[in-house]
Amino acid sequence: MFKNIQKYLLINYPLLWNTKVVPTTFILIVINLIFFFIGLEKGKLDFFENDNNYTYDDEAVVIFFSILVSILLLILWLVFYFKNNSFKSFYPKRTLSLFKEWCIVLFISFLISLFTSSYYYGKDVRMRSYFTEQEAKNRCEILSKASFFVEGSYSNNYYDEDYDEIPVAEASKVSVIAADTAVVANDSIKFNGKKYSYFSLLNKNVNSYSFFDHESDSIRKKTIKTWLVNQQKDSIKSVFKQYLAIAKEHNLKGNIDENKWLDLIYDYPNFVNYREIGSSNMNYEYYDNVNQPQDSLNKYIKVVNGVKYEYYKYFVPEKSLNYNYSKISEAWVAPNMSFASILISFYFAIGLSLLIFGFRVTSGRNWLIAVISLGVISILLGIFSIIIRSDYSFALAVILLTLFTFIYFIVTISRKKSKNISGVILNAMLWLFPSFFPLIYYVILEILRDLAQAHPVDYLLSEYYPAIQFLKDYGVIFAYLNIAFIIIFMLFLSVKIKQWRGLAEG
Amino acid sequence: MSEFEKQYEELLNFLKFEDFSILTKRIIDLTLDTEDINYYKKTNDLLIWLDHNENNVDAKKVKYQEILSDLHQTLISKPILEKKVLVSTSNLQKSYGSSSFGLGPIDMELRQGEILGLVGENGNGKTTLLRCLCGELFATSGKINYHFNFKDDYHLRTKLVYIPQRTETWYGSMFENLQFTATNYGYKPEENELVVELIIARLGLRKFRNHSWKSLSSGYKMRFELARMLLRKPEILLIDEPLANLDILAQQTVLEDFRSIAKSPFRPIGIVLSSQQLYEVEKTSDQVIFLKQGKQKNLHEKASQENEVVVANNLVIEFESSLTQGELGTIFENLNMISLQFNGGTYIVNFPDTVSVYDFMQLAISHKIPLQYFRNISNSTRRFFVS
Repeated sequence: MFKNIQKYLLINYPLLWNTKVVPTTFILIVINLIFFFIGLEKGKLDFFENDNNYTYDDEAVVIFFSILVSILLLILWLVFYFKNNSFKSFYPKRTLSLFKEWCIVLFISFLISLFTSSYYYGKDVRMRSYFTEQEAKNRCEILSKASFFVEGSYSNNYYDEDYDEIPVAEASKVSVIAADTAVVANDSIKFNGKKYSYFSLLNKNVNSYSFFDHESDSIRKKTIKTWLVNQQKDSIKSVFKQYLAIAKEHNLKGNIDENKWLDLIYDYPNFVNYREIGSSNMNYEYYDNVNQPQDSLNKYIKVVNGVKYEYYKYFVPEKSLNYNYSKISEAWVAPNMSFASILISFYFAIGLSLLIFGFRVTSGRNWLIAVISLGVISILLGIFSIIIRSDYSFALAVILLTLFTFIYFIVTISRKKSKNISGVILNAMLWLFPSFFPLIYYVILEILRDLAQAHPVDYLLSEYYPAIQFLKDYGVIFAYLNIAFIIIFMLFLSVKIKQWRGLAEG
Repeated sequence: MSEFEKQYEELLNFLKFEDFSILTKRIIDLTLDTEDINYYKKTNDLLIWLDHNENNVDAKKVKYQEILSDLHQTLISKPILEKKVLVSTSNLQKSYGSSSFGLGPIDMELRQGEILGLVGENGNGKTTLLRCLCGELFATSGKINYHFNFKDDYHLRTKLVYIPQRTETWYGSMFENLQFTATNYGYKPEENELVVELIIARLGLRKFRNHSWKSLSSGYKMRFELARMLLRKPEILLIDEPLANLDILAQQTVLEDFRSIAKSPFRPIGIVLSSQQLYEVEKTSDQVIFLKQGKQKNLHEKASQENEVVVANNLVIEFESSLTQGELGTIFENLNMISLQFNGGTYIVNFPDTVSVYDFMQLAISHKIPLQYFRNISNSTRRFFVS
């Protein structure tokens, strides 16, 4: 099939034939699909796994192979692509012909650089496939609420909204006491104007999921606390019921039902004498400790082969649920493949395509000299930057170097004499110009930061801060705009390169 | 009688004397002149038929006659264009920075259908001149004027085909490479394969169509370059030492190919070639430029320009003989010999303009001078090599 397609392209579309774009695209799509399906498989969740008990993930091996396959395929494609070069042979070219060729090279470079991304995308898709975003969010909400009633940490009062009313001076005093006596920072909390023990159930934390921010977690905690103090037992029981239903759906088991759970934790009005519910039925090796006596109320000890193991008397499968639902929420909220992460592949492909294109339109000799020259210049500029201790002098020098290469190249074309060293300069320009605007962005940001830090009162209050924030907020957008600039510039440059090629060699 | 009719007469003679090899080549040339896909098909059919009927002379003659008549009928009405000037240089000079060597000044003019031979010893500027003409080197001073339309320098260079002495490596099969060239030069998909087949056959590469660069000899690599050049339809072909790696028979074939390609009545091109094979080049070329240390020397009876050498109408004979220089000198005194030089195994004798080549031959016969070889070089640039 490919033979016939290539034969057709050879006599109809020589550029497509020469770049081998059809068979290469097909192969690259197939390999991307393979990595996608590997990702799909790897994204499968085992709800019995948790933080302490999971299968070793051989992700590094997959990534290593994806890179290896990319390199091998790139070499193979280049061997075929470099077999013919109509531009170097001075075959007739239309004005946009070189630009089209670069676009094809960019397209193939992009597909070649996507293997790892395809793998991650496969993982994301698989994890998202378990539930719709809303459903996953609802479930995480239930899990988060229920986690309040499972073993876990107490709130850090410094950051909890309930302690806003504690004066700064008092809080500092508490901290000093804590440092001196090595006891807990505070021995009480306040909720709705009433004081509770630090170890009260009301001071428990919830497990958070990527769906929720800190504020949302606080609101959830406040809701639960309100249920507790208002004796809204039905609401709490309903959460337990839903939680246990989710667990059952995944064949995960606890050893209590919702009624028992409520009985165990509900200790109105002070919420101090509640039973701690384990997050799994896993054992922990137990060591006798004089300072920390065994919690025989909530746990029991079992001796197996002479080794003591401590178990929770009552438990729910919180560890497994939290472990797996964290992954699901992550896949929805911050997937591996996103608008921002695809930028990396884009820029990698642009860099690769320009390396190939430079070699294609100039010569191996020019290309190699450009690599060495740029390397040496970069080292010298780096040393210079270190000596003068400037954050952005390197970036500034590269910007000036880019401008120099551009001016040299345009002047060479206008003079209509010989190419001289413009082949080397052209390569350098091709590789430098994509970083032109990002470096300007970086230099401006650094200058603004310097100015803001010199502000007499506070960095955040300086007049430069809004501009810094603006640049940071729109960083990804700028990066995409830069891609648009690169494409437009290449359109212009490809026309100029054709003119340049017509110049005498010496 | 038009140029085409003269050539057609020549083809009929090839047929009459059963010189089928050259006849086939010239039929292909005429087929390409028609620029008609129907003729491409017909001639290709003939080539396929010939593959299987090589020894059937009578049937071959009939087939050839048929196709010749057809081609004649079509081409007789096709207008033959006036031969235009393609390129001219005035005071062209090229120097290489610190190097002491400098080319020029060169003044020349090349027309469609003409072959210009560049001769001279190694390192005297032949390749430099070719590279200047093809746009690879820019002229330090003076001008090169191309008298055909082009949009920019790149477009100009698509119309100038330069074949260096060491041709570049290409990859893949020869046929595929030629198809790629044909597509780039605008041949329609339906005629692509037919034209490539014709051109491959034209240059005797039919058996090697699927060969790669590595599996071809230097001579066939040169033929491949010529095939590619034919597809590129250049205005000017510039070719450096095309005879260097060829045997004597192949040299004559290539030179004959150059002549017929350049002098096509309908698609004439200009050819500039450099070579050490002085006599072969002189035989083929319409004009010869001799380069000595980068300087141009033309042979003219009257020197109108600085670079032209006045040639006295002396008789200059190059010959080989077993006699000694002294013995020969005594004999040639009879014809008022001006000089006698011994030069690399051959003698060069110079007589006044009153002496003709027949006088020399008569003298040689009467004195029974043993001659292995002799040549009248009175009007050859060979004189520059020996002077």
